[in-house]
Amino acid sequence: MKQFRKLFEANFKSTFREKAVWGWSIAFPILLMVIFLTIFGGSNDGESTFEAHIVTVMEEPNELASGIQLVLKQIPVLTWEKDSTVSRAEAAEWLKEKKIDAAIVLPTSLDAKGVELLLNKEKENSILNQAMGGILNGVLQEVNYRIANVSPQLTLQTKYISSGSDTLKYVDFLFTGMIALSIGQAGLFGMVGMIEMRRNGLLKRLMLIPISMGTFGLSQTLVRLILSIIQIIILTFIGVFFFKASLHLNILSFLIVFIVGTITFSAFGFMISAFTKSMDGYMGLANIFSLLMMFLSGIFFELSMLPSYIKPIAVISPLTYFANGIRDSMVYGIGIMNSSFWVNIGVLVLWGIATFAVGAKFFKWRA
Amino acid sequence: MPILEVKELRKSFQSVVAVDSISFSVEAGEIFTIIGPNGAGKTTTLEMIEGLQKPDNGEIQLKGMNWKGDSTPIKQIIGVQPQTSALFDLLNVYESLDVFAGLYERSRSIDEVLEFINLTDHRKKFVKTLSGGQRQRLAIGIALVNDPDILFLDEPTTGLDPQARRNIWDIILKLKGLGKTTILTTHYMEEAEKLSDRVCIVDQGKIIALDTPQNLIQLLAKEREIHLTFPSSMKDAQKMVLMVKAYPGVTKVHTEQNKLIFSTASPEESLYHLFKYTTENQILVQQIGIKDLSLEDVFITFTGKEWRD
Ligand SMILES: Nc1ncnc2c1ncn2[C@@H]1O[C@H](COP(=O)(O)OP(=O)(O)OP(=O)(O)O)[C@@H](O)[C@H]1O
Ligand SMILES: [Mg+2]
Repeated sequence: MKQFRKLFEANFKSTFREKAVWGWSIAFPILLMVIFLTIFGGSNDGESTFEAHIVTVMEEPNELASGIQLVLKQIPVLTWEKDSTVSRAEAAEWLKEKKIDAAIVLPTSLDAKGVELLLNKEKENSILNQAMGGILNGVLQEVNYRIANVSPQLTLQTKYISSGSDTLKYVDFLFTGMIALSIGQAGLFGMVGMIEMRRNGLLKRLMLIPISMGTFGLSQTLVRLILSIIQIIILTFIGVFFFKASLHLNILSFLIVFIVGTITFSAFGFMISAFTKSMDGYMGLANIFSLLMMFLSGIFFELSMLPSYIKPIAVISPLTYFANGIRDSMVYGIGIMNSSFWVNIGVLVLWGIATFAVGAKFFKWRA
Repeated sequence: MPILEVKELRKSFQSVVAVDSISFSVEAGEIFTIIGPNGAGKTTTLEMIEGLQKPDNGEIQLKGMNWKGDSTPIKQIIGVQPQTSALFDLLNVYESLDVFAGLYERSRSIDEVLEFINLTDHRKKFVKTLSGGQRQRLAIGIALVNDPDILFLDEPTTGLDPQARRNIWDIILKLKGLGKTTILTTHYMEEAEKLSDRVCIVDQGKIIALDTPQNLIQLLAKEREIHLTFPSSMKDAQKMVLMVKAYPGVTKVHTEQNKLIFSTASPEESLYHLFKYTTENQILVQQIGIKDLSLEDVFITFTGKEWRD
């Protein structure tokens, strides 16, 4: 026990006095999380946030045009630069100045079939284009029905439903993904110290001491866990307080996923240290695994968005299951009675055992 | 009974035979030095004794114990300073000693060790900021924390300046004062001569000589080389060649400019005759030298190789 305490002390101080650890394991994930949440999650607070500034152009007043105008006025996401209609020239001018996002040119007579949508050329490929197109189509259909005096039998109701009990906001998705990613990366990259300890002979030196290598490994693992705890507390705080991420924690399942995940990724790092001799070699290999996992494990976007030929990687990636486990236990409050919990834990444990076994087989204590 | 006994140790790496049938024994309280050029097999020999490498062949007994049966008790009674000082760079001096002390059953007080290795003033200094000599002293200090009976120091003074080297010598001699047994490796003949009770000269994995430094030197031919330098011209030196050649015991004689150089088996007698001659003929002798024999000559004699360091 005293031996364990002393080894832990040495490992702990060696880890936390290393500035690179603070940089890569704490500051970098925070920065990454803030950047990603700001860009992709910040404005999205669960409600539709699409908004368009528009005006309508009525070149010749007629009943049809007034009717369409009336319907458009009822659409909540459209804000009106000017309540009355304007001239085409005026609308074009405003578009150019980006004073408005779009202008709708109403039909010139009852017989005219066309409604024009004017957009700034720069926004050709934007969401605005699609959204306005969709809105306008809906409006025109509605008007068509009114003219034909029929009421529609079928209407499409789009609702976004997530697998959990609450609606999943993208912030929550990204926020939990980033937590899983940070802990995973800390594990993948964290064993680089082994390379240095092997190079300077410290690992060999430790073999002269009457301790088992298991004690040494255990003390290392405890240090990794503490680092992960610091990461998760800081990242959760930032996500919840600055980006309004939801937190619906199931403590038990969370703790299990968290501990198993941290150990699994440390074992992965250990395996990398067994196959590399230099710091550069280690970082190179860790980077390859890290990049593969980062984009193919449902961290930034849903796995369903991946092309099918890449999916197999996502299916075996341990980060997929770690991210799922973190999400399930932190946002959906899914407990250990749920089968998905056991799938996540099972795959992580398998990865942990496999990488540790391979690492232990090839690990060398001396340079 | 010797505290350390090594029999027929052998170790090869692929085609390189690093250690080839090395046997020796060390008595308690001895300073035993293994000296040899780079790649002679010193570190490999030590590491096999320390249990870090498995010998291909041979037996090792430490205080009557061997690595097969008693690895933990052996680890408790040995202290090792490896050739590359393997330290936790981000701990300070005190913490380093404290961590290692905590890993053993028996330990010395840290303050005592600090005093011993003369690092008390640097106790709060981080390992990575230490000078080479301070690092080396800390590495020796760590080897001491478990109050070991046998110490292994692998090239403790390599790369240090003369002052730092002398500091380490002091530590090693103090250890002897405490009754510790030290097995030491070095490249420096001077160091081996000064510190060791017995010296083991190895080359290419084999022991080529093993004895006290004095005995080893006496093993060499008794002949000494003497040179005299004359101030004026080379004439004086040349005049004397034939005369000196006739002295009893003198073997080789030659001149180099104004220097007369000769080898003799009876230096006192030769010098007596020579000085008698120079005083009678009022020849001024500017410099006189008698070359000391050293372990270096032992090495050269036994291997026929130049000692390069
Ligand atoms: N792990 C190894 N693999 C292959 N060859 C090795 C290994 N360790 C040592 N050798 C070889 O064995 C020989 C003896 O090496 P060793 O390190 O014991 O020499 P040494 O006397 O300690 O030299 P130095 O004074 O340079 O420290 C050398 O030729 C070395 O190249
Ligand atoms: Mg060596």
